[in-house]
Amino acid sequence: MSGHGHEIKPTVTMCCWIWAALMALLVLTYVVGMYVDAGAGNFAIAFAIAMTKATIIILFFMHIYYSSPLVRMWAGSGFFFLLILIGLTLCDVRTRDLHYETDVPEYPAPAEDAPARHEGDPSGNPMPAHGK
Amino acid sequence: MSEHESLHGVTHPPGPLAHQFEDIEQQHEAGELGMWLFLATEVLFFGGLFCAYTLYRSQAEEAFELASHHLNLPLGTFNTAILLSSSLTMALAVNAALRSQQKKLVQMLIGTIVFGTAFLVVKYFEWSADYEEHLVPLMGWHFEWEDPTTAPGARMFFNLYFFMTGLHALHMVIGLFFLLLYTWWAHKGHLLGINGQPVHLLGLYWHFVDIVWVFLYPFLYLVGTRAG
Repeated sequence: MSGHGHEIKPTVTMCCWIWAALMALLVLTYVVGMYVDAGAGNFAIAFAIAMTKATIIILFFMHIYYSSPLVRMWAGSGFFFLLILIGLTLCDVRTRDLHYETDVPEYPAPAEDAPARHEGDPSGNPMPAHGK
Repeated sequence: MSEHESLHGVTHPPGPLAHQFEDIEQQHEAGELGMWLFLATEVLFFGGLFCAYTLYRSQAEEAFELASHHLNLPLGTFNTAILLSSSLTMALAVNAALRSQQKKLVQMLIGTIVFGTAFLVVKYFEWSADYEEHLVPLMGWHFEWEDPTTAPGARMFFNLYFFMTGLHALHMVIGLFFLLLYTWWAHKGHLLGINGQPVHLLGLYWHFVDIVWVFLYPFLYLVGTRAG
């Protein structure tokens, strides 16, 4: 129960400071994106700022800083599995030699009066047509 | 108390504590765990799209950079500021609810609704501009891209852009619906003090939607550099 003298965390003042910090980070990321040319470093900076913003929001606005270890663990689990999802997918794809622009197979251009594939063109559908 | 009494609810006057919990702290922690479990599924829901984005971008770096520069960075930045501010009013609403400040709770919930709606209005204008520039490769609309070598990559970027921002906007609309409902309840005098837990849980959802945008912003608007 919230009686007098018992502050609810984060306090109103803290919330305002957190907001100010988030806005400062936003201005920083905008200025870097707009006026700085650091090559591949640009996105690295933008991503690092996004991670910082997200961490601040999760810790204070989402109360994780004040939560029990059990809640913290559940909160972390989603991000842990996201790391596996993206990490292992990249391990697979980045070790292949594949380029989206150049390795697109060349399909013959459809004739102007050709029926659309979804309207029952037999050559466009590899599956045998059942129940027709 | 015996199981029999619990089943018939004789010993339980209506109160904030549901009968399956030992005390209010346990009830609050259970609610928080449930919300975080839902948010974990949401992390992976959006995460699948971020994974697809990362894959296609690694195969079409140049096209993604060119396509990203067609988006309106000042407007996107402005929208991020609006959403971060809505998170502030949401956090203040949670604070007011737990301190039983009814008037402030209603004000802060309305403030969050105003910011959330403003975000969607700005998003609408951005999407209309994309439509005008023939950059929407959906619904059979004409997608116009001059350079044929980067066209497939650019098309993929805009597909991902509309699916990711669209799914995010859908989450905003759902959040706004609950904010309206809670504003009505708060106006009626509910959701205060020990009954304020639902505001905290809605806050978790709202901040999560904010975090998704915090990542969408650099992934969509800040590819490469716009200097020079």
